[in-house]
Amino acid sequence: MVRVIVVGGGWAGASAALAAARAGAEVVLLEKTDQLLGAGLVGGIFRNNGRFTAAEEAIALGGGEPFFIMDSAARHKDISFPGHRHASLYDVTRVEPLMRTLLQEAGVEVLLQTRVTGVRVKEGLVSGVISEEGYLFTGQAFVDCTGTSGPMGNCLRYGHGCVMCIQRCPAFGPRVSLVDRVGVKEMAAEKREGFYGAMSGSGELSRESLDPAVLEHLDQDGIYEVSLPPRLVKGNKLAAKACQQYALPDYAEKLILLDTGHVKVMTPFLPLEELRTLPGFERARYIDPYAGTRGNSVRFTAIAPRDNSLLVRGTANLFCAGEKAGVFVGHTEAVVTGLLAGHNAVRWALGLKLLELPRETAIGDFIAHFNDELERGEALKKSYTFSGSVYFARMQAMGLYTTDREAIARRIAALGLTGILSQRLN
Amino acid sequence: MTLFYGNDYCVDAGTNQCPCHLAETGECPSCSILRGEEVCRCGWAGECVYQRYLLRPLSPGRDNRLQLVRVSGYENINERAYLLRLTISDELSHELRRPGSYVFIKPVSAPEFFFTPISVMEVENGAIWLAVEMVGPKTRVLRYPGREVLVKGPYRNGLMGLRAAESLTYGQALLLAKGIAQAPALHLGQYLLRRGNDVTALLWPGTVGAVFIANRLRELGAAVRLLEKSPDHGAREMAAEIAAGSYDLVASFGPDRQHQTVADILSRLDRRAAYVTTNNAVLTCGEGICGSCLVPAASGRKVRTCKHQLDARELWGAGERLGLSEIGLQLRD
Repeated sequence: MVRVIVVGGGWAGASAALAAARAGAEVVLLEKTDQLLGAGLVGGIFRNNGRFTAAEEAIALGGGEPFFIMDSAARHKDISFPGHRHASLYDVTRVEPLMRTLLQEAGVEVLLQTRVTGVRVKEGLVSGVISEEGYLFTGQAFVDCTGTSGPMGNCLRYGHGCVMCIQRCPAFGPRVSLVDRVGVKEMAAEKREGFYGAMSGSGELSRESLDPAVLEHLDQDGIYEVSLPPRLVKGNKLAAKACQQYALPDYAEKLILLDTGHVKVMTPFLPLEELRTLPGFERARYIDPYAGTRGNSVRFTAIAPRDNSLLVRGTANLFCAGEKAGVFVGHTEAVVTGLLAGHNAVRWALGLKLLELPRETAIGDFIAHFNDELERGEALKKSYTFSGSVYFARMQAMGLYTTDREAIARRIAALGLTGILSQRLN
Repeated sequence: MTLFYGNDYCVDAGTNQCPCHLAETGECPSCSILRGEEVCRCGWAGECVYQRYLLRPLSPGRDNRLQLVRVSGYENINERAYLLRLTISDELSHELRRPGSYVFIKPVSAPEFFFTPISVMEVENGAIWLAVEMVGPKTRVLRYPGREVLVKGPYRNGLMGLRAAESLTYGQALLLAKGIAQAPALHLGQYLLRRGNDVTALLWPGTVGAVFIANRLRELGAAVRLLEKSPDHGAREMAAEIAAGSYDLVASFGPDRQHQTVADILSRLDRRAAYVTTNNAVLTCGEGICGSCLVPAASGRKVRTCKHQLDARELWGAGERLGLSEIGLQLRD
């Protein structure tokens, strides 16, 4: 039996572990914190705009389970908010236990509070990863899903310091990139000359701290909008945002809240004393990041060079997914790259040809397009998501965007790829 | 085979002495940003060094380790070695409770270059015991130190593999100590015993010609065996003990040759115990500046061993030079 080690338990790592288990591998998933899903614990938005197409493609490819989990934990389905249509919002307080259970049922060994800090390379192959405590985990193929946010030094240099985000680096230690440890040079998104990374685009408020009238709105519609007084409109904040799909004037002029179990604020950060001047928010408190008054986590400082099968260039058996695989924003993007990386790790271990998804699929085009843009020297100045900004525009122009489930299933079937991610390979 | 450890860190990171001069010269062992890289790629789980630097570039303890202290006790071991008890500040004694701690010491009247690094043997509240072997002028002038001496401290990197040593609880530990290195062995032994570990110590008189920690270790609850000088420098006895026991941690206190031998034994016996060794580098300034402590680690890079805490396996080339594998790593299958 082949053994695959996945490092990092966010949506990318959890999906990679699941795909590798479904393909027949023995899988160990190592996560540095006390919970899975990483930034997915402060997320919740899926199926909006082109993410609907990507989710349905993943389902048709046989990798639908993470999306079924999100669907089953959804608090709101098919809602719209500025610039976004047919969005679903999953409940961040329900989705993690569901995903953890699914992984355990699939036979994945999930080890929490296990931070990988070292790697062993033997004859050009990664042969094991070493945890902080000195445990060695051996395997045939490895998937680096350690993300690109933190360590704290990056938040200090390119953000406003550690704001106590969900990563909780001071307590659990910073992520350590496997790609970096094997000596492959990583890339960083560059917002302007010499200024790297991008700030997370949203935070969360505690429900209990908001006025019942606001909550009633949120419960009913999933969304609540308040116009900001002119002194609070800071259009320039949008430029630094990682989530360019929300870098629209609406999000600068209004406070937009979404109901994701907690209350998601669609602004990178907002000083609490200013927020509290709005009616209904007099008692508001941040729960993520804890210092949401000051800033947010800085990400995209450690992107791996990789091919379109998600194999890290310069390595033989190290794959990557999620933010590690590109300036990719969002859980849907993490899940679809995770599925492919996990599946390909098993293919590699079994000596099979690696799977590249064709450009007739949104997922395949998304992964390949980023590499094309890298070659053109543009990729690191933008961010990519199925849900908006430059890539959603491309999806529409290429005719890849559709919400017709049957058309998507037919598209995958015509390519002969139906169910490929759910097939056992050994 | 190449091992890339992410576990090395600066022993002073996050302490009162951090950031130090190396932060300003762009050579911080912990922080890649302070080393001039564009992004942070540290693995240090603790207070961010870069943040410390931004908030307080001059750390309060950076250039302030000096104390004038009273010599409050003296015991002769033999004609070659002696013990000193020094009355120091409570704060300093608290810092020196960490295993691997040492201080620089010199007579008050001697010039600056008489400062010599001496391992802490035992700590009381407000006092420490040091064992000194007379190997040259600096240690000779301390034999009759007068009523007061100058002490600089705390310095922390006397042992390699500190993380393993500090985190072991309710385990089995073996101390292999020779000569003057018995002093730091007693310090670590005491630390391990306090944490519920079983401690076995094999002691050799070494060049000092005396075993001087046996009674104290027994008092504290360790199992102690005294051994004689042998042509193989104790290799056979060490191997027999490691083979017979099931140790979670093996600590070697002695010359480099002994560290290499123990690394070899652990590997040949396929023992996955954590490995701790004394840092035998020449320590002159203790601040990462003078360069006397630079040592090439197995992976080829040079490290400042007065600051840089790294895996004893990397330092002793286990897995590389000896053709060994994963000493101290526990295989998860």
